[in-house]
Amino acid sequence: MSSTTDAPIPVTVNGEARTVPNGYPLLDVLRDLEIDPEDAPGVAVAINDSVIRSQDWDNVTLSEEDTVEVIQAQQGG
Amino acid sequence: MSNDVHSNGSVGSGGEDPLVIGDYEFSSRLIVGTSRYPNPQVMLDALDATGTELVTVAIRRVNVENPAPESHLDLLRQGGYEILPNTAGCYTAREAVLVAQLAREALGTDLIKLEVIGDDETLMPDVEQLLNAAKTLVDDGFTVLAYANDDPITCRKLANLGCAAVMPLGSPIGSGMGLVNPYNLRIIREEVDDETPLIVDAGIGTASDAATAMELGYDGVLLNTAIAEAQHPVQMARAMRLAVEAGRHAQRAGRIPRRLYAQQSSPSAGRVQVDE
Repeated sequence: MSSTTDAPIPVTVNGEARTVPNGYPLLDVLRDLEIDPEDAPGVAVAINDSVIRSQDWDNVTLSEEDTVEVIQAQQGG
Repeated sequence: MSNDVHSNGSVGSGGEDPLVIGDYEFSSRLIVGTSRYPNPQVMLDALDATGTELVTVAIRRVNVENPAPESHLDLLRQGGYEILPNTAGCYTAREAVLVAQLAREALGTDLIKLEVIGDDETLMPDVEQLLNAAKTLVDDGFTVLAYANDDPITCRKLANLGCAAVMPLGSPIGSGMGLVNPYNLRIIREEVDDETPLIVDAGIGTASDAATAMELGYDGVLLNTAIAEAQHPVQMARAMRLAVEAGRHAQRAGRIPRRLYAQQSSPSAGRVQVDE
């Protein structure tokens, strides 16, 4: 969640270690998961255990060691 | 739970005997899961046959390489169902709280079915983590329906923490073993204050299990596998609806006491006797 530079940083997205440019936009994380940020009903995002409200998605970029969770509803009991 | 009996004894439909969970009111006393059906149409037909108004969904990571089965959330919403997200698969209070908060954001509901399990084999709740998560979520404004062991102490604590419903298991999730400890379920009914709805969650195998839960004074039944994996899910769905309504009627009607010896139904006076 800082200004964009080209330096690669380690992050975790849905439990998987990834390397992305510092300041990688959250919107790009969602697009990498084949989610259209403009049309994502039932999707929610948390970074480091804090939920990011959908109206704030376009203001958020990733910082080193961020842990991102992107979830959706599925069938369950 | 109110023991008021309406003059016409009507329960289970028409809104005359609603199930009240927090600020929510349901005319059906069945809560039904959306998993394991043969296909989406059978799921929708089965849900319709139960008469339920509240259905559960799970919350899972988006996975491009291994996509989860669709929730069919749009179909459920078109059907008018209230969505009850669960925290299934969470092992710690921290995980469960995060999943609940994500669910609230994703689905726009404060309802949460709180599950915090101890292991994969039994899927039994981890009581310490469950109580911690329940307290955090109640304080955070959630309407918490807590899946619990059939343990009167834990259930009482969950009610005292402010859970909107307490849901002891009948037997392990998906086992279909029915109510393995009805005596504990009775004690829980007596121990937990009447203001907190009690719902048997997990282990229901067939309609008589659901009816028995209601006859024990429970306010509702939550089930999934018993319908979804029945040979004829829609028919079983209807059976469950009737069982819950029958059990509710029977409980409110007041059953006769059990007697060891017979008691004639027909009058003994005036019976025909032939001397030997």
